[in-house]
Amino acid sequence: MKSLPPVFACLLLLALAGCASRDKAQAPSEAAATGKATVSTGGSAAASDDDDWGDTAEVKVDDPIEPVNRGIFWFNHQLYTYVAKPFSKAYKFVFPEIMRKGIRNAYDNVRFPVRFVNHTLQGRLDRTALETGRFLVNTTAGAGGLMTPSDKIPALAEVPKPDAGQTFSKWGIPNGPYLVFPLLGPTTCRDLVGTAGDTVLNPISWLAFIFPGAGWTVAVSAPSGAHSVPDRMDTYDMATKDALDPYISARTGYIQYRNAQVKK
Amino acid sequence: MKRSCGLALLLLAGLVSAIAAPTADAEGALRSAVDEVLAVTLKSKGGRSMADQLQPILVRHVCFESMTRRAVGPGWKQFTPQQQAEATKLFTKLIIRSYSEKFTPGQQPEIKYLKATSPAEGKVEIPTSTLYKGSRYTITYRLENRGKWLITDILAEGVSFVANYRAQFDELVKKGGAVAVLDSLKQSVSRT
Repeated sequence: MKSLPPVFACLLLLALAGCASRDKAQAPSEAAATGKATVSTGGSAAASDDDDWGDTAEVKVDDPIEPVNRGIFWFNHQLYTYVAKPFSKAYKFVFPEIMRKGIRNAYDNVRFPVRFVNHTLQGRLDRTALETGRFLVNTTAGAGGLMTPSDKIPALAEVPKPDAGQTFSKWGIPNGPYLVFPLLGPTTCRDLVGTAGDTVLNPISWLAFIFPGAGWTVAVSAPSGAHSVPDRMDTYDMATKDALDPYISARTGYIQYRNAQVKK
Repeated sequence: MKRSCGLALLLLAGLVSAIAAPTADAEGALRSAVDEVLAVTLKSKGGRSMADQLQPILVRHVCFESMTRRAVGPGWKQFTPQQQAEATKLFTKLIIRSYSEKFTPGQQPEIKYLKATSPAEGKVEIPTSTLYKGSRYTITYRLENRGKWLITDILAEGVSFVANYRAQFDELVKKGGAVAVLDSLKQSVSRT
């Protein structure tokens, strides 16, 4: 979930309060009736087992509209198979790895305000400073961000990349219901609102506000979506190719991935 | 006084090395497994042959029986010994195929081993920062001491192989027990 129309995003901001309060208020006994799936992944259910890691304990997935989500997941699968994957193949052919990497780096560099604000909102001013250092190094010594010389500087090489969904999580806001959107794929209510916030912070989306209707803004913003398609298809394949139930695999993978990002 | 300080330091050093020993042993086992795998992936032409070449290495370094048992979860107890053996065999095939597909032949990752931790006796978790095809990933390995250190789970960016399959097996066990699990595994393994 990377870019959403801002109006839609604002409407979703209103939805978050509902999502969050609903999630907090839901009693365990309610879960079965409302579709809240608590998927044990090595935790309490096998606590007596001697090889239990007690790791992620439980991946809680609130999926009250699972049948609808599954329908959209199926639709996305067709879309990915017959449109996105051929596009990804053509894109990889036209733009060799080194060019794709440069484009990816440049758009990533432009998203600096998203990371700057989220580090700050999480109270990690040390990371805000490192992020600023990273941005300055890559913008100046990395040809406007096409290259990432900051990777050679140990302190700057592995600064986590926060987003608003992670910030909300640090503030104690739960995931809320799991959702699957046509084309955009999996998210949760919390992350959806977070994506909207990040869109507002992304300079690429400012262009459409500053120069409404200008065709060149499309030319600038379109590649930011296009360049991510091959990576997204690789991730999708990784999550679903050898799955017994691709929907559950993608859902569990998404929740685990997001939980891990929040812990960084 | 000097003597008692010296003794205390000696005891402390002993304690530190006793704590460090299992993580060092486990890391040694992991490094050896990773080196063997990379030697194959560098030379391999990919496809099915990569999985075939990796199989003997992975069987030596990975405890597939433990992975299968933990992936199936509490439902494992409903399986007969024959069903358990069959599930382990099928799951092993699936995991090896899935793991092998993550490599592009000839591409060498840069792996930085980070600080290992031991959450419990006989268990060690080793995070790595892996630079592969221009992107950096956090890959964490979980090892257990079963006579020798064996890999029992791999987490890519926080997504655990075992946990991911556990969620899928849970649904199958609820729907149709061991038979449903085995049918589903057979289908997935036969899929190309």
